[in-house]
Amino acid sequence: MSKENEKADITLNNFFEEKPSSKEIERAEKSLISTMETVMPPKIFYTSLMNTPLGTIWFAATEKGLIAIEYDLSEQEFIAWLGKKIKARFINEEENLKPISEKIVKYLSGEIRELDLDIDFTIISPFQKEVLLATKAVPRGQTSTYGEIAKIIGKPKAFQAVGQALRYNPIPIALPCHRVIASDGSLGGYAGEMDSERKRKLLALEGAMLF
Amino acid sequence: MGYINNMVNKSHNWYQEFETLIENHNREIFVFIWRMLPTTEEAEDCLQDTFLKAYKAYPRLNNHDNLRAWLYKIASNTANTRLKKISLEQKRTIDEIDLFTTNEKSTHQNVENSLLMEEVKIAINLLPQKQRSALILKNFQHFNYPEIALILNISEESARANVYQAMKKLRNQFRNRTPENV
Repeated sequence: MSKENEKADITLNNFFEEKPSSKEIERAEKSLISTMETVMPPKIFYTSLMNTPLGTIWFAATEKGLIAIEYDLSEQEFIAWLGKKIKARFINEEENLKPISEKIVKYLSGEIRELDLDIDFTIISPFQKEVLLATKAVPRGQTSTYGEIAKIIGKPKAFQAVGQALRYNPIPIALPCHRVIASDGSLGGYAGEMDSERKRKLLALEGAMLF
Repeated sequence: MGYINNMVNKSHNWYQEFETLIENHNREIFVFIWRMLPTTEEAEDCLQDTFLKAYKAYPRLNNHDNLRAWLYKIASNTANTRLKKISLEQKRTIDEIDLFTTNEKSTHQNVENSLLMEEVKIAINLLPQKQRSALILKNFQHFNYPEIALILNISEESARANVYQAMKKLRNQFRNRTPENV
């Protein structure tokens, strides 16, 4: 290689060693992440509770609060079910959800009397929200009926719609649809199931009198 | 059921895969783009454009074998498009630098050296698109020729030839110029 070329190579190699400062790299990374956050769907964290008195429970929460609780599903079925209701980044993470897990476990073991959790109502329609909030007003240990809930929300003829809203409650336990029973005193449905063992257990746990 | 589960995974978990992709590669892609473009601000904007394009294309992407090369391909195209837009301004800058270095030679060594580095950067930016990308991928990012070929969608021979031609031009341009001898 000629001397002239060698000199050129020193200059070029000097240049090839140049790179942005770590501050510049960090700043670029930060603004990239905040831009991507605006286009990507929100994060939803989920986890499961095994061997509860009600069996395996999967639940999910956003920054706003609890968004879903489901029984009897596999992880994939739970995510597929929730994924149909909301576009999100689903992240299986136990740690973030510990405060919620602990409250649910304590509630189901009778250690605490009220399951007081923040709720994210995003996947709940305004009518369903009204119905489910009305169930939250039913005190622990007491029950209401579909017809009574319909009256409370000011739509006395809508008791069948109330039944549907309760049946598809995406956040059972925390929104206590189990406190609503049939007007003849029978258990009524629970998550699409008649004479549900889970509903009976929840009501017994809360000390409700059943006939 | 296995098939259905795979479908479920594909439709609901790709965001997480994409986030991992951002986490793993945003820094090196930024360094690559920074070397392709004249200013840090341009490079920052271009980094965002690159990942926004990648985000849109990701769900339709069938082959996930070499996502890193795929990202470099998008980054290279995005930076080249941006560079075309600013090339006129760039040419004006090189004229100004020529004037400055020939007429008002500073005695300050650092200024001279950084001007020389600036000249190299501009000279690289004025190389034909493929030569520029191939050179930066080879000499800065240390990709090998098969990888460069994959990123730029050209043959290995062409990748080699592009780097060779780029180096030849730069050597000619900076012949007899070293940081100590401006």
